[in-house]
Amino acid sequence: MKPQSIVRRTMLLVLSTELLCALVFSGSALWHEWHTRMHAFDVTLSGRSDSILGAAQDAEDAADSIRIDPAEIKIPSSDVYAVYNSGGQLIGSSHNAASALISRTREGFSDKHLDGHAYRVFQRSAMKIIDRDDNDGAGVKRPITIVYAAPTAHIWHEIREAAGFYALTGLLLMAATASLLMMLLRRVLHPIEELATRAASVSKEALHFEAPASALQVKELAPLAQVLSNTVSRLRRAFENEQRFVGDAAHELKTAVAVVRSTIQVLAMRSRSTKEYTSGLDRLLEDNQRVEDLVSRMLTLACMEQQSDPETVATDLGDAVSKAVHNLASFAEARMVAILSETETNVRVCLSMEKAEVLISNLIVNAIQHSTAGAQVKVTVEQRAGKALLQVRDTGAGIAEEALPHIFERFYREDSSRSRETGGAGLGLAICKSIVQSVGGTIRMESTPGVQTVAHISFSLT
Amino acid sequence: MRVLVVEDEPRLADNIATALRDGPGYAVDLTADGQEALFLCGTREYDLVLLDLMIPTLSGQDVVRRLRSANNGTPVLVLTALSNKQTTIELLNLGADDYMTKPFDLGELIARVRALIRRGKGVSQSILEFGVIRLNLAEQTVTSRGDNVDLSPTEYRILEYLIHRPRVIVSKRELLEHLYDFTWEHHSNVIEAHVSNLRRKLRLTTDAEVLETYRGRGYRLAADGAV
Repeated sequence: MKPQSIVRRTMLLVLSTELLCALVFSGSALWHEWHTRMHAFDVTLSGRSDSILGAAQDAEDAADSIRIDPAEIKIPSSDVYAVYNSGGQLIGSSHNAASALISRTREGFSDKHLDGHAYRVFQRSAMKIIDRDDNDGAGVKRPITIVYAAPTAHIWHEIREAAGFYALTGLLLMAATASLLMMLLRRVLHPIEELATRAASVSKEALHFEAPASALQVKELAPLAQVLSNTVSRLRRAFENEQRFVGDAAHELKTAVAVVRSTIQVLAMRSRSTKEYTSGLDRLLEDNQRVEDLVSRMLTLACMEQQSDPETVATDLGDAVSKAVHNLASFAEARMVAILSETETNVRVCLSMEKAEVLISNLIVNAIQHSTAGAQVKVTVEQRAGKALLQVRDTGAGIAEEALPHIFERFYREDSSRSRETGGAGLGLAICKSIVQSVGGTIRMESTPGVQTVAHISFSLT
Repeated sequence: MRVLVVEDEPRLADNIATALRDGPGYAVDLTADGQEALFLCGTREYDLVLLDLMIPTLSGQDVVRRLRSANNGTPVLVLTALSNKQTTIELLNLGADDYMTKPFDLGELIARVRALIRRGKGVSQSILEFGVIRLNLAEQTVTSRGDNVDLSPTEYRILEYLIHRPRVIVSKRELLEHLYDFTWEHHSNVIEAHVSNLRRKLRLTTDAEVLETYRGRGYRLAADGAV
């Protein structure tokens, strides 16, 4: 889709609105103008017809008819007139009067066209009093009809001129608006452009974004700038996290391999007895086991982080706990730790059995590793407030408060030497977290050092 | 020679220590913790620090930085899993003397440790001479006028340390610290016997009193002995 320019759209909108306003305004102004002028013209016409009336004179004949004396009339040469007596007889007209114009039609004003010219025609009936000396000074009344026509071309001309003036003013106004608008929009859009330029400079190598001050000063733009800034820093953190993970993973793997290699080399430093070789091989096997465990845990983590279960999967948490407890029985026995489980039935969550088992096993193993011989690890599953709750409780040494926020980080080990003894690579809880998060659950660890440590996991029920 | 190994993987630390003790016969101290490493470097004199980068409490980089800013010039050989240029450059700029990426060859590690210790003492070749005595660091052999001098490992290590600091009086404590690990105090009494044996063997082959004892001050390879 072709991007639309805000400048163009705004200009188009504003200018077309302005054009419409100008049209409506000029239209109404012109209409008003036309009306006023027409009205004035009508008054003029009626005045001129009065002078025609004045020019009607007694014809001094037996029939007491009247006549018009053109010499007495002072009207524009383009105007035409005709006077009719009561019998409908034309008693006088201007010399250039076309009969179509001066024929009688109806009283009042009307418009006529002749030879492409528009005329305003005024027809009126009037009483001409003649022989004022008769009838005791009242005179003789003779009804006459006056038809007066005048071309309206000049009015139209004036109106056209007015229209031209309005159009010119409108155009000038629009040009002024356009340039002003252009300037204004440029200024308004400048912060956006600056923001875009700044945003464009963000790259994988330079994951840093500082919103330009110009954008932050614009109320409407500040939220966007802020969001951008936050997003980039979130991205940077995620990216740094990934990089740290890769670094940590490399460190762990290479160290594990280095252990194997150094064990071999120490064994080969000088010739040894069969017994020494045998115990050396045992050590080697142990070291190799560590590499295997590390690799398999990293793969598990990678799988858990990528896979997401179909929404239709539902696993009974109690079943998963029973399986995990069963599988870990010998491990727990070897460390002389008892595993107790207390599970409600039919607490089903949207998690595959495989993942649920990995989750629960990891938590139990973690608890056992931090328990002393003779201690208990307790696993409970219950349904509360529409949520499935899983808890794994141990009475080991606990986790220091400052370590709590980090224990779910990959490769995090609270105390390296102790965890090395327990054989953890610092991935168990990270795996748990990614499993729980993959189905939108929450996991948190609560610890009172020296008393107990509880892992709380909460899921939505299916 | 005394080396501090800072490595939080106990098995690897153990293997490195074994190799350094069995190979060149150095005294090796172990720690898995950055802070402790810094503390140890401040309280004891090491001829070399072998430093892993990812260690608890204080990163390897920080250990190097603080060592150098405290004007401690002990050679530092960094063990790292990261092999990118940036980290390497940063490390060397911080003041590390050399680095090896994991997994490494123990033989190469020992060779580099030897070279770094030698250079740390201002010696550039691996055969050291003092008068008629020649000490081959790589082969760990001593000859006098071309004849082999048969020394016990401890005697060799005493001579090796003294020959790195010729004509300087080395205190008994300094010698002990560089010869033995954390347990050096237990060896306090036997060191005199070892020195005395070494002196005797050297006297026999050089016909001169090469190793002098300064009561209450220490030992030195005598100028007079340098015939």
